[in-house]
Amino acid sequence: MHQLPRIMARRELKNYLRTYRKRSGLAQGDVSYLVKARTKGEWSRYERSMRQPSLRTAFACEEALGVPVTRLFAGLRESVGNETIERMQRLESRLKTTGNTMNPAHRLARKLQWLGQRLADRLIPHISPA
Amino acid sequence: MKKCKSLSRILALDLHPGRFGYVVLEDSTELLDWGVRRNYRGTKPWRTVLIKKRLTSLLDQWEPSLVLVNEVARCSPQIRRIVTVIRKEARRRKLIVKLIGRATVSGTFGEGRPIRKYEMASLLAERFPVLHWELPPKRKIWESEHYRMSIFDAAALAVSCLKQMSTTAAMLTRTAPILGN
Repeated sequence: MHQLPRIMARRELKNYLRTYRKRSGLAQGDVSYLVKARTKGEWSRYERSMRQPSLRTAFACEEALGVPVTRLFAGLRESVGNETIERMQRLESRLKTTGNTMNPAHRLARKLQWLGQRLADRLIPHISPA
Repeated sequence: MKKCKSLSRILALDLHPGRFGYVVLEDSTELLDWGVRRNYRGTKPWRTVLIKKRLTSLLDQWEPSLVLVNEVARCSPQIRRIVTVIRKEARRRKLIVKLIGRATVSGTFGEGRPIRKYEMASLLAERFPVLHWELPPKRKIWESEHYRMSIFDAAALAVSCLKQMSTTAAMLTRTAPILGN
């Protein structure tokens, strides 16, 4: 069969729980038992992004489905990441303009250095060696 | 020049009077979801509500940018009703709906020669190993079609459409330098 080219740009979904659950062949009832969800309805709500699982459940999902949490909740991770970066930018500009009267100068410098470094890391992503 | 919209996810539907098979494809290679939604029983207005409910849940969850539907030559009233529901819902969400004919699908898989449904399903099971265990046993001549074949028909629609799109893209790339001169 023909090899299809990757022609599409992708926007991540909030979670991929249903995809990986179906790939494993497990039913909703099975996975809800594995991750200690109360009912399979609760699991269904996680799949449909109507509820967000607790950190404990998220780790249980990783263990049960064998997929990292960052991949399982790719869209959520992306949106939280972007939101945090925005907040970091806002905090950086706030510190630069008003300063921080509560802390000494060297502390402020360290904060700004850290924020600058994190933002640079985020804006220029690392290229992993082949 | 016509602007090409970037597509992230495709929802392919294989419509039948009593059920529809569906697959959701991401990045043209990754199969996100597949299955059969059925049982639209009840009185007629209620049936349409049920179809809409089932379709909306799929659209809400996977947020596709393209919906593919099989082109049926002699539509039953029920299929016509489903298509109307799909079109209305797609218009509301500003999605593209594309009808794919049987000839296009068999042209993609058969490459000139006629191809049987089961052969096509086997090829798709090879292409998407997650579908392998969904493949029903080969139908005997006296048996009716297994309902899970709808999943493979929907997958065939998606693959045909993608192949069609890639062929068009390749043709455009080839003709672009000529048009440029």
